[in-house]
Amino acid sequence: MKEDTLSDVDTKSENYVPGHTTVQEALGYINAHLPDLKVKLLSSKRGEILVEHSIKGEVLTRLKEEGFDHFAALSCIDMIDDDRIQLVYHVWSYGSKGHILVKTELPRKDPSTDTVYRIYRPAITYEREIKEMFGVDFPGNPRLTQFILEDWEGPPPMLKDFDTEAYAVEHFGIARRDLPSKPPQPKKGGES
Amino acid sequence: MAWSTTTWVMAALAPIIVFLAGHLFLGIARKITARIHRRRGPPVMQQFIDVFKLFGKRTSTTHSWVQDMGALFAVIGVIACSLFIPIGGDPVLSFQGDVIVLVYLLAIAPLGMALGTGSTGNPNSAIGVSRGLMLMLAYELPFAIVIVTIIVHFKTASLGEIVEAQKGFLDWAILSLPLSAIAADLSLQGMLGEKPFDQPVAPSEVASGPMVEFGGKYLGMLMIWHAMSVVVEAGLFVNLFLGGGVLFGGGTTLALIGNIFVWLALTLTVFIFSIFINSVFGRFKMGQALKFYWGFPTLIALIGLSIAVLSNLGVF
Amino acid sequence: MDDEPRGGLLDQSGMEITNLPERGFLRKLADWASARSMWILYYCTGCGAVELPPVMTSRYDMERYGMGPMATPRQADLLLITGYLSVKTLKRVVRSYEQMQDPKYVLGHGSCTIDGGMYWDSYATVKDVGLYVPVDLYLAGCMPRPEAILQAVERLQGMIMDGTADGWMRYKRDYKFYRENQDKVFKRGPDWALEEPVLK
Repeated sequence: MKEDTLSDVDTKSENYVPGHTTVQEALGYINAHLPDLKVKLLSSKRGEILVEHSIKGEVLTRLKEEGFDHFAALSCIDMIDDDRIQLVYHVWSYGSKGHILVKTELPRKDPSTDTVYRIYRPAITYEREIKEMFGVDFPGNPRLTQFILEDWEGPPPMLKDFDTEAYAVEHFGIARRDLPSKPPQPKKGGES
Repeated sequence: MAWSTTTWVMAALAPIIVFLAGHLFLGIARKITARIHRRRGPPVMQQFIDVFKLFGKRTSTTHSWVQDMGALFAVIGVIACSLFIPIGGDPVLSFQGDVIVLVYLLAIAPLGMALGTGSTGNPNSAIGVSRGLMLMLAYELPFAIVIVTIIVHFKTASLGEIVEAQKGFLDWAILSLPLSAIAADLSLQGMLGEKPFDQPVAPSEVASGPMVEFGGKYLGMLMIWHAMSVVVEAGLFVNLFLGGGVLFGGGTTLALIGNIFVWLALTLTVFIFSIFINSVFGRFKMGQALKFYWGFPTLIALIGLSIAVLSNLGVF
Repeated sequence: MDDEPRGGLLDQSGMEITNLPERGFLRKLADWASARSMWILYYCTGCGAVELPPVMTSRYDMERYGMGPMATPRQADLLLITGYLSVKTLKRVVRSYEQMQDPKYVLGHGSCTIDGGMYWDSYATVKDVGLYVPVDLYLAGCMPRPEAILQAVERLQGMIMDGTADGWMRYKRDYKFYRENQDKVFKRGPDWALEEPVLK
């Protein structure tokens, strides 16, 4: 896919200069720019920002310009008791070796948020995985096809209300040892 | 020309001797390689068991009749080669100019296999075939120069007469043409397909290259081809440089039988030498193999050729 | 520990096999050669495959049994299912199994092939491999050590020489059963050979 992105950072080229903004300074800039976000310094090398999912793109772009241009991971947590799904974007800086977590929350029913692959290119695969495992949609991502689970027709399996044991029993035969039935044996002697 | 009884008998026995000796030598080689690796290794008859198992397969899938032809070419080519190699001093079907014919015949088998395997459409086989032919391009150059040197030195192009001219240890060509012998031995490593020159059949790189779509009986035929070609090629080296295994003069049947065993023993020695090299080397890249063969072996083969030509002209 | 490798006079469900098909002398000889020269398909399916390199290298040397790793299914006789099979892998295993040529044997390594093992409640792995490909011998363990693997190899050799390692015949005879189970978990693509294997 040759969409224009500002996300292709070539760290091996001679022109690359890692940004040395520390976590504290970056959080400070974010606070100054968007004062109503919850910003927290967890340690000298780690900070977190809680954002609304509609403005996470702005925050991530700003962080990228500050030198946090390594996209480490995108994780997803199913908070079934609060009826929310939380997405955490982990970005890291080569220069200051600082780690910032950008957290957004989505409603559990039909979760969907804009893609960030135009800002950080590796997110394209993380979003694909989360779409498959949790069911979160990322409109704008051109690669949301089936990833690991081939021919999968069930509900997203990493959600906490998915009963994996019942699914296994239904689709693959016995799983639990206390079930009385055995799998069907092939008949001997050529009758079928 | 009328064939004598000996010729008839030897022509019938030659493929059988080469077949049995080939599998036995490969079994011995596997045992020796295993001992170098400090483990036990398979029984010496393992190659016979492998071939027997392959011919005992119930189904053999094949893609087209061209693939069957490929396996058949390989076996027929090498059987034809085995008829022209003098065994134990007996010229079998050797004739004037057969050295050159032999070099061509040795190439029929891999080309036939390339034809057969190319028809399967598997990309691994195409890569394997191209690597095999490139390797042939590499090692044939010094080998051809060595053949020309031999013809110039012995003033004959018949293998039977070349063997005849090496009666006795001091007449062995390895002593009078040492540089050519070294070049021929280096070419032999590529001809036998032993490391570092086993690029065509690289199991981890091209999923065994040309043999990738052959199974069952066809693979059995290819294994027979490999075993027989080992004896034919190492035997060719013995005939050219090590006197053809003629130790017992006299021309009696007993002497002939003794000479056959000496020839087999010398062939085994040459093969074991290449196995020693095989077990300690990795595999060269294709470019490295080409550069190697067109460098050092070609150079010393050319020096050997010029020494032979100059000594012929009486310079020394 | 058996003093001679004998196997399989009891089948998978514990019933004694009494109707072994008669084999002529040549077929018995071919089975003897098959047992002494099994070529494995070097397809490491699950985490049990980590016990294969010790078996192949100098200490536990499997080459003295005549076994060797082969690069393609067309050249192999023995398929080792080493560990769990996700649905994605099962598709490829069945495809490789059908490319192998008869007679072919399957050895199920590890508890995951017997009833799911550690992944007994997983949504993505199959539980009993014997429903999808015919398995000749199961080997329990998580994962089985090289000594156990070699004991299984000897047992399988005994089964082959007795004529009871008939997984390939069962696949053809009960093809409908295996095909039904396979279709329940994955779809065959349009480029698979769809002809039904027939026992000649």
